[in-house]
Amino acid sequence: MEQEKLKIAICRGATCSGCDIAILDIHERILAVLEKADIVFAPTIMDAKYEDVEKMGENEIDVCFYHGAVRDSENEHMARLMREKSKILIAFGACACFGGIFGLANVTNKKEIFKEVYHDTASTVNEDYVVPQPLYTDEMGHELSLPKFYDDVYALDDKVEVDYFVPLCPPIADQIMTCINTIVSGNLPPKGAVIASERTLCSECERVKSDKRKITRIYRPHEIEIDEEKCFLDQGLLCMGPATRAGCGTICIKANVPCRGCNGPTKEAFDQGGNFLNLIATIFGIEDEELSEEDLVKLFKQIKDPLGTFYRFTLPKSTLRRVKK
Amino acid sequence: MRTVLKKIRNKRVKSGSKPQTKVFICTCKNEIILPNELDFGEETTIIEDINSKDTIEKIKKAALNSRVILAGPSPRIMEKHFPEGNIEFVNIREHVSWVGHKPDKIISLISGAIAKQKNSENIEAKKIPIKNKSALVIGGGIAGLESARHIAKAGIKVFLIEKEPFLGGVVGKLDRLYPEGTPNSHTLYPLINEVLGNENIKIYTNSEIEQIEGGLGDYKIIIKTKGNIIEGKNLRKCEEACPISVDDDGIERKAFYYMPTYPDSYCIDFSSCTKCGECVKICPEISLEEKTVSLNVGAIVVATGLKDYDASLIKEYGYGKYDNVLTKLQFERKFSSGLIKPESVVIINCAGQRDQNYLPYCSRVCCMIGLKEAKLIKDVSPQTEVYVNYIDMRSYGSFEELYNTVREQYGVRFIQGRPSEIIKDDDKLLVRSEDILLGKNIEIKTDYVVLMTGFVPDTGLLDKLGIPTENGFPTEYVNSSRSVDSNPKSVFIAGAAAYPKGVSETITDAREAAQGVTELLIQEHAVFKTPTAIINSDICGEIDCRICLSACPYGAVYLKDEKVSVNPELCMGCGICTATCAAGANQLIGCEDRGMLSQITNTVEEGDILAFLCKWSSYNAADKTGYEGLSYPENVKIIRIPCTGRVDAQMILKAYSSGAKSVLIAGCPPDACHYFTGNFKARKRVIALRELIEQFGINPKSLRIEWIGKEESKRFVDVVNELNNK
Repeated sequence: MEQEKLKIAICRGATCSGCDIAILDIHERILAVLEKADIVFAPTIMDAKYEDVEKMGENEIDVCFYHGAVRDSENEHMARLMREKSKILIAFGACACFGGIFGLANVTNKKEIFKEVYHDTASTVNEDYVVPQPLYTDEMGHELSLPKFYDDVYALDDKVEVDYFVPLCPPIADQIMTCINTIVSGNLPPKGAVIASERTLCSECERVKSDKRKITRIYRPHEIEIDEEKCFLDQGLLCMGPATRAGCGTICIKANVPCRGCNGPTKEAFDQGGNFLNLIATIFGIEDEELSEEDLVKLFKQIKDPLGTFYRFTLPKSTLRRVKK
Repeated sequence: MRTVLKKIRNKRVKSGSKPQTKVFICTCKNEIILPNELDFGEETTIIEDINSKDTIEKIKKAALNSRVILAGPSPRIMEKHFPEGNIEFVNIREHVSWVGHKPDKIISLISGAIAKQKNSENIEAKKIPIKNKSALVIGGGIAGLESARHIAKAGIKVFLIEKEPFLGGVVGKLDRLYPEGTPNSHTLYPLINEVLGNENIKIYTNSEIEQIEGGLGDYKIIIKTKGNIIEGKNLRKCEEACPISVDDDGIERKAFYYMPTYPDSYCIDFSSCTKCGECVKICPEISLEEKTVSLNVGAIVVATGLKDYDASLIKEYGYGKYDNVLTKLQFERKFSSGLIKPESVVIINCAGQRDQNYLPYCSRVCCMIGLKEAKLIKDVSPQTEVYVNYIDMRSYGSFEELYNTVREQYGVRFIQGRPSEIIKDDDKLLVRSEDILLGKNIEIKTDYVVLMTGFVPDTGLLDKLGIPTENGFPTEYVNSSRSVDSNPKSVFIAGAAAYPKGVSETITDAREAAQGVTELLIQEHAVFKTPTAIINSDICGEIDCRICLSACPYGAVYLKDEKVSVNPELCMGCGICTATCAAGANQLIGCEDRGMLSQITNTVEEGDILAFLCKWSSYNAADKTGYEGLSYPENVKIIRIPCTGRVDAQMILKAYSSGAKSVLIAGCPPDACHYFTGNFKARKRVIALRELIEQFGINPKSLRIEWIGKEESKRFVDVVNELNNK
């Protein structure tokens, strides 16, 4: 008897659509996937209406890959809808898992963003300060609505229950295939599992590390010729490998680019950015005791924008979640 | 590619039963007023007197199979009753009642402790079996002999190894000892006789350590030993036949020679012997071969002593260039053997010492040695002119008397000033220096110059044993006077191997080391109660970032088969490595990230000041405010930590996210961290973090790191008041 095909949905929140492309990046393997599964909803790659999903019954979709953060009421609506209609909801990509790059908007708020976008930018003339409203009635009495823009950016599991997490920005093809094959096999991991390694990225990295870890000066990648064999940290480059979960296959590192932490922290680490800064602080500086407080302050000024750099993908999931309003 | 779907193995949830939490609250005979409602959802018992034996037993019993929260007096006082067991202390006497805070504060403190303990592993005492009940004493000088003697007297087998052909060490080469000028034989000969007379001591002279493996209670030592010649005829003829002449600190001898210590036989100095075989021709029994011996011991005494700093490095004094510039040992040996009869001698104290170009430190005993040599010269030849150039006379304690005697009764001339150079003047020497007291430059014409060069350790053995050193001396002895800390490697350092010492100090010290060894080896197990860090191998795999290796002050975090591991014998439980790990793979038992974070969440209320206080210093200062009737704002909540080095970014950020308006981290004074550098690491983290929290819109000045010593209760109060008023 032919096995019933899986029903897959790919839903988008606040996203750059890189995650959609990542799925297409499995190339010809998609044919094998399509033998086992039907894609029932994927607005980026095929025609779809929200009403189609709304009409579906509870748990009618087997697996939903939700990518993107939750930034407005539309994102939240879709998140809730997909949760209701899907047996398995997967937070797909760094944005859905941790807020991702979109999450960096938590350094500001709705008011500031609107002011910047609809008023302050050089190319904008908006003397009456017209900004998007959730509800607008025109002279004819027609009601037009727009999603409500939130003050904060949220990760998917801040709003709905999530079964599995597939981080990375974007997820890589092998990881996607592992994920799909596992679901097809029916041999599911426990709820809440992160579909990646449990270890830190350093465990996958083949670069040579020094015995005594010590950083005397911090460089930004454009400032030096980067040695392709040596550990970035030993070269004074801020590579977030030690604070980041493995599973990406060190693709950036192999391209001679330090890790930016898109796979998020390990399961026992609770603040990726803070932890990494903490680690750098421990090994930064010549000898602990020789430096005065003023020297140290000067030294740490070498780290530009610690918030933006170390919480690049995880700000909404960090301890402090956002910059104080 | 290791991207796999891996099942989450939650190691934390113990299989089967989750232990229950029991809360005991002591009112200290109604001294502590409790809040009206106490409901933690856990079994809660109010006790009146924690010092009663029955109560202590009851709590101990409860701690065997449940998590126990004990709220009452400071843990500093309570810990002694509960050396073992899984008890989380809450200080509601010193930190609430005695500082006049409202009873309600007790609730948040206890809630925090409950939450912490639910997320912590049990602290279990480490028991390390003492497999070998024997000791190795390295060095056959005064320190080694005295240690060996005492250990053996307790019935413990001792292997005594000496790299030279004869026992006696530096003292064996001296003529006399200060302050009285007693001949060395008074000390050395009875000591050697005692050692030889004890069957528990096996002596290996002409032997060196080849390999050291193992650890506490179970060392495997391989030594390289070269034959002692006890048997054989015509040994005196062998000496005559030996073609190698050696300058043995001022005395000319052959490589084949005799010394009246032990063994009572001619021996070969293998460091000079060329194995020419001339002696073997006369006496075929002589063996020039070396053999290896392997020994199993439970403890090691390092009594490797000291040697002179290489005087030829001090260019301006011409040692090695002029024959009549001598080191202290050379002079003493030549003079007392009658090889030289000088009319005048200049003794230069601190030669190359307390000098950044040469030896940066003071060797402690040279001033007395200088006085001894001056007295020796005057005793033998009263007409000889003796000058002593010095920077400061450091004849501490009763040695002042020796100084006065030498100066006043013996007429030795003391000149304050470091000589700038020594030049040849016919067959004499001209010593140029400034006389600081007279304020003019002087020149002294003399037959001999004696350099009081400093001492350096006579071995690189400590590095081999993994003991941190500074200038070759063990750091712990150089920097501190702590003694209660366990001896994690069962390596004891006796005598001048720890730092330069005189004979009487060396003997006291050697006895102390012997006592340590004996105390350890008579036990079946060495028990360590310090919680240790552990590495979660699910997260930290092979090699990984290794940053915690550099952070550990004890070398306890190391690579074992390419895996980061913690040696529980060496780990002192400071948590510096735990705070360093960015992956949460390294956790200090009893002080884990999860535990600390839940304690913070449950303790902190909106507007609080959270103070992380080091248990060695600042925590006691906060306790002291209570004794002194001082107070501080009610919203100051205190969390006790092993070291400021344990506090990491997660904990600080969690405090802010839980509502704290300020965070204080306070620990030991700068150079006095119990774990050497924990406080400096904490300071670096705090300074780095200030930048970050400022970006988060939090006032960076609300995050403070302070050094608050254990007596500085007033400073503690000032600091928290300042934070509160901001």
